[in-house]
Amino acid sequence: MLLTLEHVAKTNWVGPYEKRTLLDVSLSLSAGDFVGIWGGHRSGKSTLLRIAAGLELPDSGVVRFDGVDLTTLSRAKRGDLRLRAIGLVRGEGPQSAEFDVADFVTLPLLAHHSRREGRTRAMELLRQVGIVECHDVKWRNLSDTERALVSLAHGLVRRPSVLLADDPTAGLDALQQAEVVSLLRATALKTGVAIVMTASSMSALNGVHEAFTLSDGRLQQVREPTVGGRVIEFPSGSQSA
Amino acid sequence: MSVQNVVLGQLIQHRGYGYELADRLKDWTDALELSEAAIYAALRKLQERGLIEEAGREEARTRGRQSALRVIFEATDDGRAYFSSWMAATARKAPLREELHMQLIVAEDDDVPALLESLVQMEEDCRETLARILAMSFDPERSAHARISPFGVVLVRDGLASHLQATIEWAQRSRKALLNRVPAGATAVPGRHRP
Repeated sequence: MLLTLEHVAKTNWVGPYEKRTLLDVSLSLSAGDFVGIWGGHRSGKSTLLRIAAGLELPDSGVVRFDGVDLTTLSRAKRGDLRLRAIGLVRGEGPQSAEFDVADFVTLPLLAHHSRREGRTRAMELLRQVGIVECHDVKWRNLSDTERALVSLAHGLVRRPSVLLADDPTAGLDALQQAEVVSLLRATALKTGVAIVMTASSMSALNGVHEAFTLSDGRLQQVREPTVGGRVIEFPSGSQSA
Repeated sequence: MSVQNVVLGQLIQHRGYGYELADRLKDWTDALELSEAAIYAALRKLQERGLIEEAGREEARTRGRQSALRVIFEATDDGRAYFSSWMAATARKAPLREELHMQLIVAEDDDVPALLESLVQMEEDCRETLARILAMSFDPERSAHARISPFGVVLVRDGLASHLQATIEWAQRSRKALLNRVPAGATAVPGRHRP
């Protein structure tokens, strides 16, 4: 397993009140998985992703990345791991309004690559997500779908093994959502990156490999009811003497 | 009525027989919880209304068994005219008549525990229906004769998922509202304060 969350719980403060955001969340992810999590307003979707990314630590429970318990790592080590292996997509755009799309997508690479190398990789990724023609456009001039795709390119440019996308389809219509989700699905299939996508719109779950809902601090898998008695045990072949 | 219209639309696209039509529409019937029998019933009604007619019979190729005759249907001119007018008409919203809405209207304080359980069950039912919607594959290879538009698939799936989302959100809000409800005469429990 690449990433596992085991019985994760987290309490946040909302004004003067204590809010038990996550009560008992377990999730495991292998390479190439594409998981979608729907949750209503303030259901804990972003908290869950921040914990999975090691940006926050859970109050209880374990988060393992490649077998390593994130809760035992120092803040700096978790930062290194994030830089190396975890892409976080939040759709906020660049910190400076003067950055164009190519600058924004190049940015995560500059710690370990030259500007020229970074830019080549960024352009390559923009081509892959189908918006290379927007490379010199400023964030403020992009449409909602273009912003979603640029954010994904920004998250994928370091070739992470896990991509955590926080509501990348927010504000998109059904056809645009389908475009973004099918891109994520194809990316997981082609590159083997494991993807967790949260969504505030349930229809964004169309196309994910596994779908969950997050409510009352619990993650519940969306699946058809299993009919009792339909699983037939396969005979084991040889009997022990 | 709408099932009949969908079947009629399929027959306008290409003539067909019961089993083959059910197969063309399998993704939809699964998602909308319609049985195969609904397709056969629709064929019968359409024929009674003169909107489709029998275009011939052919032997079903069943190996080693007594072969049955398939009845092939096609749309009549009346059927085509009716379908065009249905397509052009403004579709109306189906009435909302949830059993739980009715129960809530007449509920007393003592009924609250049962209502809370019903609300949880409603969320669970929505999750199961969502699973069926997500499992719809809309395999374009399923039938060369299926009349299913690519944007229709995405928009209908979005419509179904949005409906379920609204129902789940309503059930969650209602559950919280019932739990937070302060019974008459009692005082509210103060929240804990930030240390």
